Amino acid sequence: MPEILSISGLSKKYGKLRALDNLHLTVEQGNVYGILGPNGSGKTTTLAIIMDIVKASNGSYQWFGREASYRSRQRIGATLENPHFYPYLSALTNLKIIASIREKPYKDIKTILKTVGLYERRRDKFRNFSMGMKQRLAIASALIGNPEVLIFDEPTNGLDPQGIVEIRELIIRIASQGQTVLLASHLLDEVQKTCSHVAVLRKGEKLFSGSLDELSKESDIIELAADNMQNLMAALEDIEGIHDIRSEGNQVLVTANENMKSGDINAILIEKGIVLSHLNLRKRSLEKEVLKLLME
Amino acid sequence: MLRLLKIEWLKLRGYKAFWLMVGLYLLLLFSMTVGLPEFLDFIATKTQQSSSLKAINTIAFNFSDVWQNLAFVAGMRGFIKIFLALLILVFISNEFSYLTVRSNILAGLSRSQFILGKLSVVFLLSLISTLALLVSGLYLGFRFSANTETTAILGRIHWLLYYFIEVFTYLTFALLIGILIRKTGFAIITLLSYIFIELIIQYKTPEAYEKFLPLNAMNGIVNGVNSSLLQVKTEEFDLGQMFQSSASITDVGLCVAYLGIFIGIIYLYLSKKDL
Repeated sequence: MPEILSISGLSKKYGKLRALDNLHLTVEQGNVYGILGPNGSGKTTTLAIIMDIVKASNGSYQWFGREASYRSRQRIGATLENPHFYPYLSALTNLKIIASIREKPYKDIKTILKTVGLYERRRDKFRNFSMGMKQRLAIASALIGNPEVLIFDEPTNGLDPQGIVEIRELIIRIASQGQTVLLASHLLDEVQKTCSHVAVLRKGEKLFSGSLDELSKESDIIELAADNMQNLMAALEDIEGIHDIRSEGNQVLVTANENMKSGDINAILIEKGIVLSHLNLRKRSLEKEVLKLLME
Repeated sequence: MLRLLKIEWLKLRGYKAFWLMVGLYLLLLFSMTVGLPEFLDFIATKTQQSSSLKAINTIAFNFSDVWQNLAFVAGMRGFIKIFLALLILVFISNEFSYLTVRSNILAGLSRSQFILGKLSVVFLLSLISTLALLVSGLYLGFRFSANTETTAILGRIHWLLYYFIEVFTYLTFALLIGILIRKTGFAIITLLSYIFIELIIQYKTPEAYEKFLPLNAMNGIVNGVNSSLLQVKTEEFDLGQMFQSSASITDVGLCVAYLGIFIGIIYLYLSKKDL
């Protein structure tokens, strides 16, 4: 897959504070890349640098395999932190301004406004919008001209629960069309539901980057239960490729190696004469994985 | 370039406060230029110097002196021109206080395109102001001139170009202040107080260098009035320092040099700065 974005050695200092420290990252076409990290970890700084809002102290980045310019930004739809529009202008005029900057026709605007649920309010001035509506307008502005790459920075900020679901579904829909998406969020659940790849940042440093599967490798937990729990525990101790055997309530939890599937365990146990009354694969949540990374 | 103008036009078209201020400026300018003769008559009846004021009235608005005289009055610092500068300050600092400059860059405007768009609005506003002077001059000229031949009308019309250069430089100066200060209120205070600050600096500056001060340079091309009749001095009639017969190429160069410096600072600042 061709490289859409490559970041090499990007750093940003604000006085003594290191907002970003030597970040390397590659995003390929079709990736839905989640950028994770607590507040102040450098997510927005990274996005602001690659969109020429903020100047890097060190390092470089390339869009579409070339040196970045306004031309490359015209191919990217982005929202950054809080939505910023002309408060005295209507939603429609604000989007026309964005379309003119992107050199795209106005004809999509109507459809986009319907997509984000602002069509009825298109003639209202931006200053009369609620936080959620402002956020929707920002997403609308990113969608203008059907860009090849979309960048969303905390897209569900300020939205009500229904809005969160709508925007999440919108992002999943965009991603399924093969568009490349960068999604910065501190809401891990959001990233887990939408992303194929993640980068985890802490205090400007990258702790991990790669596919979501790589991150949660080796981490599947298997729940087991049988009539005789003592026998089950003892039998499990003997099986190779299983570790971290512990009991939780009336279940036994084990962590299995990659090549040890739950079916394999079941087969071995049956051989040993133990019949399971419960067998379940519990995917460890991204939240736990990331927290583990952040704690290290 | 047309794309940049279109973007700025979309931003301004629905901005009522801006057009209100443009309208107010034109109203002020026209009521001043068109009403100047009546105003001078009014002063004449109230003061002792009625004869000299009446004399001004009959000679100041002749073709082709009217162009320089209007340019001088409309271009005075601390006068009606400030209104235009306030317009520019509101126009530019909005982008920074609402942070819409970020959305502009984010959507795919380059930083230099952003500056160019702003400069084109400054250019157009200077043009509007100059055209308003042209209209005023034609009105006054035809009303007061004995000679209304084309050669007389166009004779010294290049003073309008001098006015344009001055006002364009001045408004670019306002643009620079707006970009550096970012907050509308502070920017306005800075612009207004600079008029006094420069006066203080001028007081400490050797006379030979006074004309190099920014505001002086921006008022240096048209720095006096003129009338062919004024060249006769009488005891009760002497405009002294106010009198200027021709513009010097050095003064034009100085003003244009400041224009270049202002644009250069804006460009350097915005191309390096975090937005």
